[in-house]
Amino acid sequence: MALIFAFMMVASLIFLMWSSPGDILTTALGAAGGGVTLAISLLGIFIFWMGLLEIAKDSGLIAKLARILRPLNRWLFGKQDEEVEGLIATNISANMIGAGNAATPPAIEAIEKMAEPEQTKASASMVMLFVLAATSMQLLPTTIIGILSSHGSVDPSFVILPTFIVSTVTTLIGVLLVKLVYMKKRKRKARPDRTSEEGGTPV
Amino acid sequence: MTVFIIPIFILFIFVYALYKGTNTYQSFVKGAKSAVRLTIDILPFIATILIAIQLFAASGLLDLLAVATQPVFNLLGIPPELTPFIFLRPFTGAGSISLFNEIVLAHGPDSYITRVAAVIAGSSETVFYISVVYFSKTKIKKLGWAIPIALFCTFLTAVFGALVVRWLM
Repeated sequence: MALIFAFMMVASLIFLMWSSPGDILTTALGAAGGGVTLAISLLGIFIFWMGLLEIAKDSGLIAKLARILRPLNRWLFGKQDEEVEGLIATNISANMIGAGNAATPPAIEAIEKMAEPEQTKASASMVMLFVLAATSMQLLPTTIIGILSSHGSVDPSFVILPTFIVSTVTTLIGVLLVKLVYMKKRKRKARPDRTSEEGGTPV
Repeated sequence: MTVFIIPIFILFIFVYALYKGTNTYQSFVKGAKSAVRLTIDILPFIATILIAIQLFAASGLLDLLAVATQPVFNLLGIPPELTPFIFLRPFTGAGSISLFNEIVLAHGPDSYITRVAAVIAGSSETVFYISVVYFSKTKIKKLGWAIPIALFCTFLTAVFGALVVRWLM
């Protein structure tokens, strides 16, 4: 991320100095202010969803959801403690109904709880959670349907099926890619032990 | 029908909690409190990434990227009207929603272009933004394959979206 940030800043500044140097400061300050405005509007959204989630947590509903999703979770993330499992289950369910902003707080908490205090590299299960959120398998694209109907679409729900198909396929591809990349890594790491024990059996 | 799903979901949380004898008011306030802490924690990250993203968008580099990759997109059957949208999507949620609005206005709410854009918007996320926010409470700096895989999948939503919408329409 540090690299992406530095690259975006330097490249944009060079281009803007050439095309419209007068806009640089207004854009940067406007964006910073926009970030604050966004955070405040997010605060309202988070208060609502995290309030609801706390009720669901205290009533045992999330634990129940986590139990239902456990076999899937175990396959995707490996063994996690119960609290993390509940957070992951909440994140995935919220993403599926198009409430990405409601999905954010449990994801932040889950990743925080999965991380060791001094860990600087994302683990396979964190990357999995991130890719699942990014590919966001979608049962109901609520925002998009809202926009389409506000523009007078005669059939706003047309998009539900193709969105479901496409997001399911890309989610599956994303999951498989994460599995592939991190399985290979694990094998590469495991190889030295194996060679010492079994005398260099090819994997 | 779809307008009922989220309200029913919320109602269900309350009914279940009442059935279990949970103090809903106390729990809700507790959740709201952690929302305040969370927002303060992630605010610097949001503002920082937005500065980079908006400078990047203003610099015209996104449009340049869209023009440069046009032939590849054409080859894959993605309508050329959608290239700027596809590039903007991983960067900004608000930006891509306003661009989506423009697409709807320009092509009509039931056109092929609009529907493909709708599928892309629904099946993808603001990858750069969530990569910052999701890891904001840890010291994790190296995300490994997370961003490349997520961006590749975003790109695939366009390829499959163009295909599936054509097939269903």
